[in-house]
Amino acid sequence: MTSALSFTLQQLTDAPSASGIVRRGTLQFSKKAKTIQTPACLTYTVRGSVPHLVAENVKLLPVQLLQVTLEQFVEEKEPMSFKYPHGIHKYLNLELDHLVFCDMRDPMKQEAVTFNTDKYLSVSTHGGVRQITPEMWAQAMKAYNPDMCALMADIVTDNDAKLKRIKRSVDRSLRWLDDILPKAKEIGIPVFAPVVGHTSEEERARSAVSTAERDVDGFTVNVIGLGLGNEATLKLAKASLRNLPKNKPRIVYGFGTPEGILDAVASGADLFDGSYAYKVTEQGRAMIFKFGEISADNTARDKPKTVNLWDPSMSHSFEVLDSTCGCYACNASHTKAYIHHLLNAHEMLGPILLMSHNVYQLDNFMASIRKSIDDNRFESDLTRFMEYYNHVEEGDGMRNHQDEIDVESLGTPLKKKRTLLL
Amino acid sequence: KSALTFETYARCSTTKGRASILTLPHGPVNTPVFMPVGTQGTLKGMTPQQVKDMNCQIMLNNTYHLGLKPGQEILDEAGGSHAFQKWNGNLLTDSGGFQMVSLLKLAEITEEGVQFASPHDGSLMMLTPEHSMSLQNSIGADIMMQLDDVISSLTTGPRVEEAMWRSVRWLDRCIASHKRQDDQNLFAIIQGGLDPELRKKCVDEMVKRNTPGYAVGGLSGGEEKDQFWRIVSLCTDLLPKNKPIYCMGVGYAEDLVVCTALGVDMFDCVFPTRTARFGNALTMKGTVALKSGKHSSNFGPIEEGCDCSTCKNYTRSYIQLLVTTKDTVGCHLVSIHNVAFQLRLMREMQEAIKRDEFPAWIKQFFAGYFGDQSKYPVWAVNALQSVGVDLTA
Ligand SMILES: [Zn+2]
Ligand SMILES: [Zn+2]
Repeated sequence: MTSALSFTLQQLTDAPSASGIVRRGTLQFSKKAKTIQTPACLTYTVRGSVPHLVAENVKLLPVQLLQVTLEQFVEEKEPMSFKYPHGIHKYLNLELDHLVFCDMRDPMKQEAVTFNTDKYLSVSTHGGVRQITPEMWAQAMKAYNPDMCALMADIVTDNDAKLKRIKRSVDRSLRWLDDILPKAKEIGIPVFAPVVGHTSEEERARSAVSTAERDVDGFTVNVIGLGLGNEATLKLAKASLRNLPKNKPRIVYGFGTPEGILDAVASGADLFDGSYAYKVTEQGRAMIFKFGEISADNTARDKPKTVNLWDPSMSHSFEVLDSTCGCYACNASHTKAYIHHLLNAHEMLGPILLMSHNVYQLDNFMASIRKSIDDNRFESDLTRFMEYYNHVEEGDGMRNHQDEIDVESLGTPLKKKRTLLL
Repeated sequence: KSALTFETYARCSTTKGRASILTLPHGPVNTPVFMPVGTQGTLKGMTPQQVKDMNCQIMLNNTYHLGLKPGQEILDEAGGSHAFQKWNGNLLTDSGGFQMVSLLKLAEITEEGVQFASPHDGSLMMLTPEHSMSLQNSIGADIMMQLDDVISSLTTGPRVEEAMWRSVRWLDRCIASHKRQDDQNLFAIIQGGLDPELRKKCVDEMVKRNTPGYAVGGLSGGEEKDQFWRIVSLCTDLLPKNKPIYCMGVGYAEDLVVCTALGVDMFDCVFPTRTARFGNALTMKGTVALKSGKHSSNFGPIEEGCDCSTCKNYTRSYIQLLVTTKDTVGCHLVSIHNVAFQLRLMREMQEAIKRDEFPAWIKQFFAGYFGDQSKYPVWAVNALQSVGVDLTA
């Protein structure tokens, strides 16, 4: 029997890149005759929907593989999605050729939860903390029938966790893995095993090595919100990645910026959560950066990576966000001035247009990374990217925003200037 | 001067209902029509493409809101509201006066215009008929409304007559200052409160001005429904048969059905999209509150047989989840259905009139919508009786 999921690497360690570990692969889903080229982003969803977008909007985007987060469906004590007889794709109205990856926790913001025990895992929901047992997990996967899923793991959410707690989380995750793996095999869904180890490089290595001894299809590596700097975080991710077998795909959580994604690609990651597109949208910004298309003789520095649509200067800008973009907003010629107006008027179409654009652009960014690797210029493109763009963290564009109103256009001031106190 | 044609192709042989094609600068509109309200240059959570895909031929923008944001200067730079929002269908704008009176404190009407306190700094300003025209010319809607002297429909006494005559004078000023007669139609608004004599006088005067269409104004302000329908019916009797008649601010399903039977061609209301935000879906069997937990185990669509993209693709169970968690997607899904419902309701009436089966359709609608006859609103029964449809039979 051929596996439902196979992974082929086009470039291995003999690549001429300096780091030697940049990977370019293909994930093949045999049941649906679909392939995903890596490195790639999983499209971020909230309760199974791409934020702000209905199916008709999503259809116009290059979305192929979505990440569905289980903790967002267990608000109800008895989640109805567990009882829907036709699987999660149909429940969420995803086109048949959309692939779904199912994991437990939100890859964008890992909220701290009380504690996990040997019997259950705690997740946070609107309705408070809920406990998920391996049995519930299996029930959900059976009902959902996703194209791939991650197993449950005891992920530590306390930044100052002691080594004893970290060791226990590695052991407990391995125990759960052995417990659930047969159930997962029975359901027949390709599984990714979480590699844990929190802030300990040694424990990360131990978790990676031991997990890799099990018969799983891939791995998830999580460095969300460890409260460390970029460098220390990257070091921890590397401690996991370098101890994993080369022939299996790795999903990495916690690199939620273009720079982070590039660092992680350079460290051997294959798949990322796509929450960056959503984060940028919520800040009223549109991605405008490119990778691998900046010519070497261009000496520009410190260019912005995004444009802030809340900015009052946008109100007279009758151009599209990016004339080379193929998203709905740019294709339908919606201007920056209009999107600015929609944000300023607190209209829901604003985030719809921005999200469409940003999801498209994030996909485009990943495609340029793949092209760059294919063309053997990833290292130099990365250097150029870091020189060309500004890397300060961009804040919420709405901060200090005051609604712009043009009172003059409603009428003329009365000759006798009388001011009333309202 | 008129930038529209209005052709009635079918008349109900019992009621005053009629099916027509109103051709405006941005294409034909099948009437009777419901016009969804895109207050600030966008229909709640829908792209212009989605609105077009549901065969919506005309929507509203509000002059007051567009005047404040983005303002006249930007509308002029953009080349008007169609271009600004990339909407190739038709647009209708109100005069801005009603919104001012209802939204702003201290709005007061003088012969010059509507005096209001600036929402910016409270200084006194004036919206005149000329200014409303200038702003509406900048927006560039296919149909514009005259500035009228808005009074509550509950007002009585000499103020009603004053408002009626002032609205006539303001119509003259609007006509005189309208700068785009070739591609924008100006509609007059019939005033006169609940007084049939004043309404008659107002119709007489305004018909003399020969505007391309007429609106019945000053209603839907809390008056008795029995008074409401009588005024509507009186106006449709008196107004010329070859021009479109618009009843402002009407959008409940039963109101749309009754007013169509009374001979009204055009309607607008914020209700379908506003109620969607609270998770209420409109159906031929009445309103469904999707927040209710009982829908979570329902894997059927919002409304069986609805051809909107929400009903074709999503279950009540999933929408219930999104509506209770206040995800914007849940709100969009219900808005799409509600607008589609209004359009479908109007389309069904057009077809019933065309087949000359409108009275039977009305009976079927009331039975489905209210269930038991005892639940039929008395005013609707009376109104339909007046045009030869006996719901109790
Ligand atoms: Zn775009
Ligand atoms: Zn529907």
